[in-house]
Amino acid sequence: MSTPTRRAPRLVLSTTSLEVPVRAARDRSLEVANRFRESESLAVALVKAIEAGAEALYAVPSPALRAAMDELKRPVPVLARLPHLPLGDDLRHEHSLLIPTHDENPDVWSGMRAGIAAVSMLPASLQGDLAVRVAQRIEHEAASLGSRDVIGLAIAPEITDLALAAGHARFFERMVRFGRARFGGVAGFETRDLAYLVRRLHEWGVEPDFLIAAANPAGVGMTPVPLEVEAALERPGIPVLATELRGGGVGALAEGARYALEHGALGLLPDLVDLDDVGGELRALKLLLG
Amino acid sequence: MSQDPQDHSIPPHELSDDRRWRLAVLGLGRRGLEYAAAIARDSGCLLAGLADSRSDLRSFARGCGFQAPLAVSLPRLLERGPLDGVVLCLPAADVPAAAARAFEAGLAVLVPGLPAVDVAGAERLRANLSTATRPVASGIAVLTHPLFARTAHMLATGSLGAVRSIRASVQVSRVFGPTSLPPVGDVLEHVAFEFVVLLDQMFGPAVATSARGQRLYGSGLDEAHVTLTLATGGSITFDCSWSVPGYPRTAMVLEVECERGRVLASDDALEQELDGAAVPTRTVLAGLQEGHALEWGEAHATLQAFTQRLAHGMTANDPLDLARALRAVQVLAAIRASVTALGERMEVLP
Repeated sequence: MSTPTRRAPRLVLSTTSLEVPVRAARDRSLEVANRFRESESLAVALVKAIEAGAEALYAVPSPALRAAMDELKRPVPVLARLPHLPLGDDLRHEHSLLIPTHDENPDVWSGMRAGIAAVSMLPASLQGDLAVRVAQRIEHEAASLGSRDVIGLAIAPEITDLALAAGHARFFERMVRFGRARFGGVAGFETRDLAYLVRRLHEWGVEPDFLIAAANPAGVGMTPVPLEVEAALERPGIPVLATELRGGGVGALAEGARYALEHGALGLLPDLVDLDDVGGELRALKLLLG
Repeated sequence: MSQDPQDHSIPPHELSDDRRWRLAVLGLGRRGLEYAAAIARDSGCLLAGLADSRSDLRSFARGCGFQAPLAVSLPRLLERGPLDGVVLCLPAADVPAAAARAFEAGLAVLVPGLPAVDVAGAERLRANLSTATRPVASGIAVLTHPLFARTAHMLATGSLGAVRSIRASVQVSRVFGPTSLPPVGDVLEHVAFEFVVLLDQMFGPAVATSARGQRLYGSGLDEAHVTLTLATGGSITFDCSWSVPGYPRTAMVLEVECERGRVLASDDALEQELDGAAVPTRTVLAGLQEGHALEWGEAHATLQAFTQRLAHGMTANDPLDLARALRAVQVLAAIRASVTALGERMEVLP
């Protein structure tokens, strides 16, 4: 497998904990959510992150993030985690992708792009292929992120791992192609099953620009077995951005970062929930990255 | 055959040639796909079939890439090849009838979540259990949660002395208006059910309840304040709500006062305060090795327990005991009746 020609960012600040549950103590999650309740506070954190050397934000679309980015009056590169499956959908029997989105301000352009995405994936779209459903949902959601700021796409782990378990090789090919073409940047996948994903991608010959997965000395989130995940990190070919560096809050950020880099991660993806001093701690991670 | 209809295992010589459990999933909604994925990823299992009467759900499952035989019903699926067991991920109202068909076909059955929506459904399922010849199990992920397992062990060993009082709560941020209400079910069904099963496992069955509740956005309950009277004579007070801000993940909290100390247990952390000790001991989920199975998802955790059951039969205080889940359905019915009767005590049907 050749080295991908597109370069994934190496230091990325994740804001996803503001919108989706992450592995962190509940008190800590509540504290961070309260700290960034006002768009101004989130905007200040984003500026500090960029000034400290973060190359992008890892984010899901949300009114809070949009408001913070509007405060800044300057583009902030976003690595978009899509599709965003609303938490409330877990009260429904159907899968989220079968539940229509309730967009209060429907965007004509995103509707058109969703149609174009379906046409571009013929005949898969006639067969109800997952890739088509995901691409259409992404088109609707990217509009609320401000697509001019999006420098890349990471498929959300719930979708990645579903397609992975089903052995759907074409899904991965199609999403890489779609993500690169749509946003003119990098395309990859977040997963909770890194070892199996890396093995399958090599077998299938699919080369995403990056993968995102948990890496920390405690092995938290490194499922099913930390040793297998370490081997996947060390396998050359597909760059991995390491997340959950503090292992759900049980370890120190620097230790997690060193562990991830020593085991072969290309970059680091700390979340707001991992950071007390956004600027200072990201600067320290930047130094570790060299 | 064992006397308990749930207590069977499958002899190894009856397995498929490659010694894997041939499992099918009935019901291809969100939970069904999670189980299909978990089965497909488990090296000890073979995803041998998928079925749903809804064509949109079948089409979605195929679009996800699953290549297992796909059918509209269990009998049609059985025409395509042999099965060892089936996971029923149907809406709860459809589970009792589907379980009866699976028992008749001689299959092992796993029922994740709520096994029936009402007392009649629970009774129907219980009555049919005697026809089962293979393992029948309930899949309640919280019963495999390592922090609650430690709590149960701590209380059972008696190091803190007898239990004096139990307070509990379960809350999540989901419903904040009529538009966020699910099409079916109330807070008891969606949020409290699994917690009631956990309380049954830890403290024994409830025999009566008195409850007050609020209907904020529709005809179903959005909040409830409940007192459960236990068969042992003690009681548990618990609150449940799906309209509390700040809880993207369901927060289950249990506070137990004992003769010689106190335990504060949740899905997040476990704190033990022994009388006279300078500081409480605190254990967090992320710090536990045994938490890894749960990190991979609830379907993986319960599937692991189910395949253990298939191989070895039921264990003492088995987390997969379906009788406990059926009792919880009766408890929810008694809570609803008590709320309607403005807090009057209601017996839980045995």
